[in-house]
Amino acid sequence: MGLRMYIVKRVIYSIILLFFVITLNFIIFMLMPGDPSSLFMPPPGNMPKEEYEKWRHEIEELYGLHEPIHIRFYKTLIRLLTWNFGKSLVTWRPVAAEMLEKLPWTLYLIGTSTIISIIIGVALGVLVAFKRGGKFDNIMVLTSIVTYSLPTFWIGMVFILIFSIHLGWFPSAHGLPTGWAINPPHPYSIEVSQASSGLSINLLLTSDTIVVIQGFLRHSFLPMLTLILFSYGGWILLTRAVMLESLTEDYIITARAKGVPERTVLFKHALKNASLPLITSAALSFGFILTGAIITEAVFTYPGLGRWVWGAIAQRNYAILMPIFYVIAICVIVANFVADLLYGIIDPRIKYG
Amino acid sequence: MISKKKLKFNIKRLLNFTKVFFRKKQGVVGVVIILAFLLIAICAPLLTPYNQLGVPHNAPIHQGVSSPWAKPSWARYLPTWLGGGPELSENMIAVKNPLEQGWRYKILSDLTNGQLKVEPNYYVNYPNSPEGCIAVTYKRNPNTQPEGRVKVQVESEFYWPYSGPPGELSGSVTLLVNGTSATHLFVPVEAWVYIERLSDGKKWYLWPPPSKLKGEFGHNIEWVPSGTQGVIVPKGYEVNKTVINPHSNPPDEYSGEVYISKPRNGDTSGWITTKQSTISSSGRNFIEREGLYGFPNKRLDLRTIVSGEGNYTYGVEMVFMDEEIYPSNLTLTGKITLMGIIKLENNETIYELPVNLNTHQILRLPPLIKDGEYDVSIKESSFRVYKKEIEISGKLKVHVPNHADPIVFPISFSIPNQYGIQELVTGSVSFKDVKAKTEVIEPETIETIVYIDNLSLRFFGTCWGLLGTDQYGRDLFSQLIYGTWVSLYVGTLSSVCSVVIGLVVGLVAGYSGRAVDEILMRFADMLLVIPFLPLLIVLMAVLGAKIENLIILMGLLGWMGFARQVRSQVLSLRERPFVEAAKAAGAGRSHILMRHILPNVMGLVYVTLATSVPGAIVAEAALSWLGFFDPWRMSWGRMLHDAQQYGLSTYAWWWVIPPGLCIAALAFSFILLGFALDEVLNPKLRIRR
Repeated sequence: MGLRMYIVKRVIYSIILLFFVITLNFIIFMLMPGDPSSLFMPPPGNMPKEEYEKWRHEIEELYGLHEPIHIRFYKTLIRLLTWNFGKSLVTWRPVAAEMLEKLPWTLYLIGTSTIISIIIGVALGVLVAFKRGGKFDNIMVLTSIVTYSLPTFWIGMVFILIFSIHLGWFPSAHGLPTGWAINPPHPYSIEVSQASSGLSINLLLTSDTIVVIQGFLRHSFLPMLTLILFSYGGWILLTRAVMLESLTEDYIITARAKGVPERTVLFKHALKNASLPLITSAALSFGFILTGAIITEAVFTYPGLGRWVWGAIAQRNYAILMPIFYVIAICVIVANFVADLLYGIIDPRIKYG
Repeated sequence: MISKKKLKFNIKRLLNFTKVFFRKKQGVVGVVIILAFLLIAICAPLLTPYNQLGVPHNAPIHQGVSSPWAKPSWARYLPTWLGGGPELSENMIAVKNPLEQGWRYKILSDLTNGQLKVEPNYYVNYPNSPEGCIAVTYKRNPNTQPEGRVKVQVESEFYWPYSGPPGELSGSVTLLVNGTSATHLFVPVEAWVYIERLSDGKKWYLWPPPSKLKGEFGHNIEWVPSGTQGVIVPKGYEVNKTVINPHSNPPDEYSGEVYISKPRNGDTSGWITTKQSTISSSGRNFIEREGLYGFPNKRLDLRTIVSGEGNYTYGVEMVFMDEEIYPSNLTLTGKITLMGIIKLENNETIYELPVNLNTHQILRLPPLIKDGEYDVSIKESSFRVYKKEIEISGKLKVHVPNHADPIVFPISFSIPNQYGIQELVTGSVSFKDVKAKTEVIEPETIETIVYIDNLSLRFFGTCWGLLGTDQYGRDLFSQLIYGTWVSLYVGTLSSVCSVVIGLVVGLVAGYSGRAVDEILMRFADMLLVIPFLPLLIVLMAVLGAKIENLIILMGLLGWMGFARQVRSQVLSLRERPFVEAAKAAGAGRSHILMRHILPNVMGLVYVTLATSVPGAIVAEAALSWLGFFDPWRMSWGRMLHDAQQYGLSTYAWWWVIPPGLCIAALAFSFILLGFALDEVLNPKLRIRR
């Protein structure tokens, strides 16, 4: 079986997965207690009567609330596939647009911290594997296990306690200084997005760049530190494990016997051959980019997707929950797909199938 | 029936296993920590006598063991930058029973005709007062001139030993007013409770707190039992409301006066009771850092009252209102016209509603006719719009007029319409051709006695116990102790659930044919793809935040990884010679699975049982932290949830650090246990994550 066949197989598998996710999504929201039309409607007191009726009609159409179950399922399927997510029950804005608004924050926060923790974790892991059995090895392994077993939100709270409440070095909440909503750092006209509980990203483009970037970085420092501290331990352990395995291979002994310098042995021979599981799990970890944010963003009230999801859960905003659940699953499916592909492309030893 | 030999063998095997296991240092450490936590969880009621959740939320009496946000007791010895300080105060009972502690009184008015006596009273028919009370008696001959307002104070002195203020005070007093005749009290009494600082003579009135009590206490009040402890209070006045909510917005104000008078006709005594009124010093717990919290500071602040070490008095100030207003009965007869507007509450339609009452109506007004609001009921009115006959009852705002003029009373009341929805009617009642008859009741004797009982004052300090208190004043240490159980329970049980499911799926998938294997494993893959935490959150939102739901869900969502491991293990085991030998000997499928393959997988089972606990513990904590906690149980995650909202900004690190450390320690000890078991049980496999 060739690479092409393998890719086709993975694509088909991913499509089946997607179908499964949509079905699960449908079932969960079908099982929700209460009248389905009230599930996707805001409380009636909030808006004029005609508008309410109009909207109710719209929602009944969208979700197919009065249709038999198979048509409802079909409608859900089409709706999710065409990215037609309906409106948020709280802000009455299109869910997809709101999601796009939050996405850059999360991408920046999780993306950067994942990259940093991968770099730190892999570097330390290689070092630890090189000095295996020693004191440094033991200490590093122990601390990685400890930091791995600490709850993320607690790390965040302790950081807030120390760095923002006690020392006052970093702000404890939001993505940008809240004062900027009223008093922007530069007298340009700045679009302030009320819904994102912070400022919209285009602030970066319009006002005093250095001040804005400074504020931006200061606000993202603690969440990022939390995420890094939470995830670097896993990377150390993984790198150490794969490195130990590849360091015992015969070609390492051969290389050493040939008199290849230790550094070259370590990075060229051992790490390169051990990099396969590292790359695939890095790809997988990007799939969880949206999930990993929920708790950290909730701790620091960071205006990204995670906090948005949390708010949606707290407000029982099912119109948001359904699509976000779907989008998260899509991310994971895509990441899995990419990881599989990488596996197939990088390692020539793999037999597809 | 297990044979003796087999039993012996099993015991020997177990002993041998323990011997090997306890050679592993990490395993021993893990087991010791787990056992310690287990012991704490089991002995929780012995370790702390306080309730983890305090008194229910809406209880009128103090909920917790101390004031909200109390710091730990050892914070007195901490430097200020760690949140401590020597000015922290402990709980203290300042005034308990004045009769034993010593009390004094002051008469602040000159008396010519009246007599005022203040004396201890041990023998009166006074319920719930076995230790006696203080009786204040005012007496005057009805033929003499009224004295006007006669003021008297009864108080008790106490010493406050701390240099800082208390966190909260909670005082109570029970006053019983006894008048002369069965229907009328000729000398009404006003009463206030106060604290006076003796060093500069400043005085603060603590009770009655809410200003809405003002004027409510006239005659003809309906006295009803209040929900708590059978206290009888005027209608519309709840004992609950005497607890002043320090965090209400706008804050309750401390002004107002209470007329204490007789309750019902025929009853010779009336109760007015506050069980406890609570005052919190506001803002004290909020560190003053820029941009954190602004706190409304309009209300009475304990920091200004009990500001520091010194002597204070706590007492009741009473005013006997001996004025020449005698109770009277007033009867009005005449033709009544109601003019009203019906305002529907839901939408804004307004109906003009002229109402004519054709029959002669009699309005019985309260005996003592003064300006104020009175309950009124009229029967047999004819409404054109909705109903022919209806009973109207409402409040009359009365401005006492000259009886010769037509009397117009504004009236508002609500009636149900044909849909059963209450509608508000506002309008006026006018009387024409009114015949008014007034009879004034002359007193035979004038004597009013006020019995003062349960005069007590308690202070809740700014520091308490081992870990201080939370935002409701509940003991944090108890919460920490009781939280252990939740973590252990959820962690172990959900781990057991997921391992059992994983084991069954793995065995079946590994040992049955390709089709079953393929289906099961694809299903596991699909479940693996779906993000765990969001799914858990959504499902918890559907099913409700019960701890058992959480356990089941985590079991159902966490078996996939283990099933894969078991499957691969089974796949390799089924090719081994001993399985082939068993097959050759004619063993059945289930026999091979149960007797040959399962025992070989058990090592893996034990290890996974231990290593999957930490994930469950942290997941439970995370869910609780996000707000999906069982309302009837306190868990570490829930403690941190509260701490995130109320503890971080107050720099209560004693609230934030311990639960997290406990979670980490418990999770870590299970990891250690798992590793040790792994090394002992699977020396060849070395399955590590």
